[in-house]
Amino acid sequence: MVLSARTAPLAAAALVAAALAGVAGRVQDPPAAGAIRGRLDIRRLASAPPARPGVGDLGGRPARGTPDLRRGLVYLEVAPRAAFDESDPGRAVMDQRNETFVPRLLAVQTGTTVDFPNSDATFHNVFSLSRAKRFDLGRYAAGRSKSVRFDRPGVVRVFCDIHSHMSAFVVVFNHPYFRVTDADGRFRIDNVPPGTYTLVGWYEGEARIRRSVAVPAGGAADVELIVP
Amino acid sequence: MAGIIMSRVRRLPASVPVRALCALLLLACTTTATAQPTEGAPPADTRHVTAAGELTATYGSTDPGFFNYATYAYDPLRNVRLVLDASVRPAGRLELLAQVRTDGASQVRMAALYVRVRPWARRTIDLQVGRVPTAFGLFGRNGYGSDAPLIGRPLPYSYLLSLRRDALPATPADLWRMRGRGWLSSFPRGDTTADRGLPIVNADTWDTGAQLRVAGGRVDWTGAVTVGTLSSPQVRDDNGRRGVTTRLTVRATPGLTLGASAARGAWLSRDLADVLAPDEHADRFVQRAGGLDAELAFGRWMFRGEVLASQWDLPAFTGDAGRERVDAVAAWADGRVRLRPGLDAGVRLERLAFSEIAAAGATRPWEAGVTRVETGVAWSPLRHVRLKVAAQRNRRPEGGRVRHDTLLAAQVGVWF
Repeated sequence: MVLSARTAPLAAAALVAAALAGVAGRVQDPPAAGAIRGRLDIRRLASAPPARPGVGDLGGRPARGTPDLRRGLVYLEVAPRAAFDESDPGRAVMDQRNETFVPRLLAVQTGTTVDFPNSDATFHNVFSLSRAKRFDLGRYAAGRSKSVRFDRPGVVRVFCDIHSHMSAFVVVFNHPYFRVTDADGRFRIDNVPPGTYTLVGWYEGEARIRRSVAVPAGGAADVELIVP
Repeated sequence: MAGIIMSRVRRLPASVPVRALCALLLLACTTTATAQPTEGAPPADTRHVTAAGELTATYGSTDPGFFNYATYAYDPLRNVRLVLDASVRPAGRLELLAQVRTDGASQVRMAALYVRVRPWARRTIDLQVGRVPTAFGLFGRNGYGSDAPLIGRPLPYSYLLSLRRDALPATPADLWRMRGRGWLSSFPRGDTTADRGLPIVNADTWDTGAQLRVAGGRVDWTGAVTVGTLSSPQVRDDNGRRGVTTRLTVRATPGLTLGASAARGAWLSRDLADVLAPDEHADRFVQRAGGLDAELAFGRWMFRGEVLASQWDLPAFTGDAGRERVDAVAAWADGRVRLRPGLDAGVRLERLAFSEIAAAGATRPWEAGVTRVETGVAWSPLRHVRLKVAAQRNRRPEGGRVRHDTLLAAQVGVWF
């Protein structure tokens, strides 16, 4: 396109006006973030992995703890733009107590370092063969702790090489929009930008239910997820 | 979709094929339903029945020297073995345990069947009655399962000596003639049919009797009274005298366990009464054994080792009252290292040596000594699946048709 001497100043003015309008648009405040709250209703709890019968043992084994199987996980299947925001993943702890991982379910952001202290009197050997994170911490005694940094999103099944009945999940996300429920299944995810998302209810290694949820600006969306 | 991160969470599919395989095998664990939790507390584990198993298929070199045979019925380097364990707990302190094994899909054996009672809830005192795991030594109870990269078993727990409980040598030469032939031994007194001999400790068959274990702090003691002996476990008494086994372990540190074992029992069958001297009885011929062992684990390393000695009384070669004594000494040590998650390497060194007997101006060991080195690698692509490859070098220069042999084997194992 060729601009004449008369039209060129008008075009330049239009470009300047458009640029100014763009700047003005960028400095506007973003809409207030909302929240998602509700309950993940797990109708049928999983059973704890049984210890293998100690037929070759010279006696019975000491009493073990029972893993807490009441907690599930909820997360946004597709994260909003705010997932780009800088965050400090920090550290988390998964203890080994009474031959049980505590907590059994741990959800963290990528880059989080998880400590695995041994609070039992016997050796433990934490390991995982999951594709998201393969590791083996070797055997270590009571009072000691070893750590793993989780850099890739995914589900990491964690086991003890010595006690086959010990197992746990570390679920790694590349965004902050997830929560482990409390013992009653309740959860609340804060600071969610307004919009419509798919909320996933996850329990014992599987995404069990998906639900579309609209988050209002400055408000909270209530949702009930039922896992049959 | 600028500005949006796709963040689908990956799921681990590992447990699915394993469970499917277990279902195909019809051997999945049997459990009762789990109760719903009460408010504010984790759900209680209400299982009263649990089961587990291990299926291994091994294929390797033929073993013409019978270095690995614990029974002549099957070649352990070319074998499919299924082991099923079950526990029934009708009451909190009472438990019924059983183990069924089949080798080569040919014969199903009840390897263990016993009752375990813990009379006091706050004290670690256990009473086990029935066909119980041997209290002796480091290896005989659990063996190499899915947790070790080796395939062959330590010599003192599997290698067949020429000694038999139902047949006796008439002269030292009879023993010398059978050196290195324990897989098919024959002697002129008693049952003259060729049959397999006895190992020092029979880890393949457990004995029948009662066992008491007392544990406290770092010390663990077990005593057992059974109808058989280490070499010759029995279901029913066949010589009128009980065998006694005891074991003491001390956990010096969480990673270091030291153990000492001793055993004593009459090992000859009363079927030999006709060939014994008039004043002799089968229950006077005793197997005595003692052993020291240690297990050390730290980080990705684990070491185990054991030294054990056994002595057997034999009727005097002259046919008169009195006895001869033959000894065996065994030592083995194994180590393993985890090279990376799911990948292990291991090695075991061992030696089996025997006392000498003299006759006609000659002095020789009564059995042929054996030296073995085995090394192996194991890989777990999935938690329940274990693939092993092992190589074994055997030397037995003093006897047997085959005096040295290198054997290779590969094994796939699934536990559930």
